[in-house]
Amino acid sequence: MADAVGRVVVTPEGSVTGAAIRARLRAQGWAVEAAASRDPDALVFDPGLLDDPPVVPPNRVVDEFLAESQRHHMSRIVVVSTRDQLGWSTRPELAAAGGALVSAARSLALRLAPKGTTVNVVAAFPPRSSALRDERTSDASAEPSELTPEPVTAEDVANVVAFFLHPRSHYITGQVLYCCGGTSLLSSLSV
Amino acid sequence: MHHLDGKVCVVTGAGSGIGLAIAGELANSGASVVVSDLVLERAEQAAKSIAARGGTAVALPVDVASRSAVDDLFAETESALGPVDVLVNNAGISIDRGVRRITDEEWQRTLDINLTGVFLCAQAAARSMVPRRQGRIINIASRAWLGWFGQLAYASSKGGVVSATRSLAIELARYGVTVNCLAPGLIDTPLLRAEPPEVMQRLMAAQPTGTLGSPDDVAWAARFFASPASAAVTGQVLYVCGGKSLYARPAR
Repeated sequence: MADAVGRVVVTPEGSVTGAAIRARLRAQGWAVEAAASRDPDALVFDPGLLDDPPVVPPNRVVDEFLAESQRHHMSRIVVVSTRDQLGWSTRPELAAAGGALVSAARSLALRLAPKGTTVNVVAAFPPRSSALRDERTSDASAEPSELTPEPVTAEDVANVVAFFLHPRSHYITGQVLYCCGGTSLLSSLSV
Repeated sequence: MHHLDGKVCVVTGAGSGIGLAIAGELANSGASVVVSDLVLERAEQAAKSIAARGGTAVALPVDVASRSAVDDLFAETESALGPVDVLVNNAGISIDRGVRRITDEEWQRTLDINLTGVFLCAQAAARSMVPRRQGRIINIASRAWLGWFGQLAYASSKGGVVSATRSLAIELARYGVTVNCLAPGLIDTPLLRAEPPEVMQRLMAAQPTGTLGSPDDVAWAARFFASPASAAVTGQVLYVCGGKSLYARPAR
C-alpha cells in the first residue's frame, strides 16, 4: 500500500509531541511545512496541552484553533488535546481548554463534513518527557496512571495523528480517540 | 504503514461484508488469517480469494454462540498457524423489530451471537495472549448502540459489546493486550442495499458527510488497532460513521 503524501502544517511549535509528530509524518511521505505555508492539505493543531506550561494559554486555545482551521479548505484536521479534559484536580483551566477544544472540533466536523474535511481529536495522557508527569508523581494518589505496561510516548500520540490524517480515514470524523494507556476508562465522559 | 508480518489473526463472521474486508486487510498487511464463519463454504471462498492475492488464510467454521465450537476454533487455529495474536470479534446478527413485536427467541438469539460470542472468543483469546504478554482484541460494535428505531435487541447487544470492551481493556492492559471497539455507521453492505429506496434516502439525509462508508473503511481502522502503532490506545470506541455519531436526526 502506498503511504499518504501531501502537505501538512503542524502548529504551533514547541510542544512535547511536536517533534515526534513531524518525524512520523515525514516518514509517511508528508511534506511538513511551516505555519505560514499557503494552502496545506492538512492541519495538525497541537497547542501543547500536554506541556507545562501549555504552549498556547488555555483561554486562547479555541480562538487559535478556529483561526488556524478556517483559513482555507483542507481535507484533514487533527487536534492534539489532553485526556485531562475528563477532569484533573489541580488544573481546571487546562481541563476546560481541552473540553472546549473537543466541542469546537466536533462542531467544525459537522460543518465541514459535506466538504470532505474530517476533524478529529487525539486526547492523550501526558507522554514520557512531559513536565506534567513529574508533577503527577508528587501527588500520585490523586491522579491516574497508565494501565498499560509502558508509559504513553510522544510517538504513540504521533501514530494516532498519522492514522487520522491518512486518506483512508475519510469516513472517520468528529471523533475523540484517547491515547492514554487506559487512563480515560473510569470516566463516564469517555464514551 | 501498520505491518503485521508474522501475526496470527482470527476474524469471526469473515465470510462476507465487513468481516471479509477486515480479513483481507489483515492478510494484505502480512498477517496469517483464520477466516471464520458460521457457513464453512463462505469462509472457504473468502480464504481462497485471499490466497489468490498472495495472502495466507485458513478457513474454519464457527458458531460463536457455542462454547465447544469456539474452543475448537482456537485449538485448530493454534495447530494450523500458531497462537492467536489478533482477535476480531465481528460475527453478529441484526433483527429489526420494535419493542412490541420482538419475540423472546429473537432477543435471546441476538444476545447469544452478538454478546456471548464476544465473551467466548475473548476468553479463549485472553487465555492464549496473557501468558505471552501481547495481543489485540478488536470488537465490532455499531453506532446503533447509542440507540435506534426498531433495534432494541441489536443496540442492547452492541451496548454490551462496548461495555465488554472496556472491562476487557481494564483487565488485560497490564499484560500488553489492548482491547478496542469499532462502531461502524452506515456501511455499504448487501444488507443495507436491500433497504427500500425511501429508507435509504432518509438514512443518507442523516449523514453529515452525505456519503456511505465501505467495509474497507472499517477494515482500515481495524488494521490500526491490530498494529503495534496503537499500543497506548485501549478500551476505546472509534466510530467509523461519517460523523453520524455527532448528531443524527432519528429517521425511521
